[in-house]
Amino acid sequence: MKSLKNHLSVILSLFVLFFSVEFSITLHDVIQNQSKKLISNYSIVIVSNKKLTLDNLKLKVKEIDFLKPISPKNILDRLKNDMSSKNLALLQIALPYFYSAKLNSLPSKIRLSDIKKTLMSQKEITKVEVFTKTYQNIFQIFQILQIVTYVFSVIIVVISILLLFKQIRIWILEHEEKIKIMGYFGATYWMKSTFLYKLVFVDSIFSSILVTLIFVFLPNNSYVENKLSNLDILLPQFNILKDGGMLFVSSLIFSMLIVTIVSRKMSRK
Amino acid sequence: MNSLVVDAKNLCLGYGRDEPIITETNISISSHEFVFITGKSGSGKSTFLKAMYGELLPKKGDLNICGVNVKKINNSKLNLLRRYLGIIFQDYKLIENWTIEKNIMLPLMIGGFSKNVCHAQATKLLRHVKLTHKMGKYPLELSGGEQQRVAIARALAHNPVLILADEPTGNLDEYSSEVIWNLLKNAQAQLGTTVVVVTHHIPATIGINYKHFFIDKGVLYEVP
Repeated sequence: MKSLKNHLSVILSLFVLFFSVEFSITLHDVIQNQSKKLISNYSIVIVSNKKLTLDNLKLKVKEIDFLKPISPKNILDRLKNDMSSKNLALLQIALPYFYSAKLNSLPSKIRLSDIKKTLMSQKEITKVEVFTKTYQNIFQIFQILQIVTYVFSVIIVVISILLLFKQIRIWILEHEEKIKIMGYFGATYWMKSTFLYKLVFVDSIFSSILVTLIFVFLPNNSYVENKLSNLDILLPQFNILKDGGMLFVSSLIFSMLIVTIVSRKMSRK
Repeated sequence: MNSLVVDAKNLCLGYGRDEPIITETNISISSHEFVFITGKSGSGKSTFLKAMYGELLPKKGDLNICGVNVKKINNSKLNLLRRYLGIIFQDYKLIENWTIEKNIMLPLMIGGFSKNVCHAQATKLLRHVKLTHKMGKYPLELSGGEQQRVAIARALAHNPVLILADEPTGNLDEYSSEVIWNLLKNAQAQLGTTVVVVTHHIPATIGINYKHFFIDKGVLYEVP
């Protein structure tokens, strides 16, 4: 029972640690996907006296990824009935060039204002519309959510690491006599610490299985799926072999590193 | 001519910054010798033994054990040296959650012997200390005398060059003490192992040739 309790404290610490890391990665992926969706629906409108080229604009604003001329045909069609064809032709000549510019990433409010200023500083550009409010709120919510999650993850990771250090110290103290006796007969550091590495190896397997199970079943749970699809959010699929394997290897390396640090430190005392 | 197993020159031993417990000691112990170190409580008998198995480093002077100067020894060399020693403690120091067989196998496992060799040697030694019937038992299921016999079997398992025994009969009754002395005498006589025993008094019935050192006021004297 006592041994199970000892194992649980390491399994839980590793589980919480890697769950929070995996959760942050998942959230990061979700936010990246949402940002991509947002950016694909977002564009800046530029009005210019002269024809613009993407290459020239990119030199001024590196975020511009795509430049598409907006045809004035729709506006002119609407005016067809109210104006003579001669005036319409004159108007067509006098009309400036309209462009829709797509960006490759979602800039912050400040950056967007800089982009507007840079574009407006060009002689040929007469107006720039960035439609700030339409997407800024959603984007800011994403950013806040991500920051909060990162902060919580860091706190959880720190607490888990401290718990792991403490538990491994307890294990060493519990086996102190055995380690000492082995030392009297010439056992090397590795011989004396093998049992610790075996313990964390087993615990790493259990904790990574637990995290894998959650991240495999969560995106496929109908309740979660419904709720997220209502928000147009798609959880990334967890690859058992690739992601689960990575998780196990990271958990193993991490826990063994802690065992090495603690046991080396304690053997020096 | 017998080679020196223990050679101390101007040896000073002590703990931390305190005054040394052993001062300016010069002794030598040759192979195959049976040696007693006696003295009053707190005179430094166990301190001297600790220095012999590298638990305590000399403050001054030199201490050579099996040709290795323990003053300048590093961890890996100390581990190697200890594989040539067999240590017996007053409180047995057996690993409680290991069977007595596994306890005896410990020095052999450390020495890298195969499981079969370890098992065969442990079985032989259990027969030698007359504990074959207790093979699967754990140390706490045994009496004090039996536990000390297991500790002696463990100390003999890897045929050490030197056996260091710290008051091996200190916690035992007369009968058990007799059995322990016989085992140690046999180890010296049959295996040719050098035996150094720290004790309060030398049993009157020991019946062998031995060397006797007495510690008084921090100095080891050889008693003629």
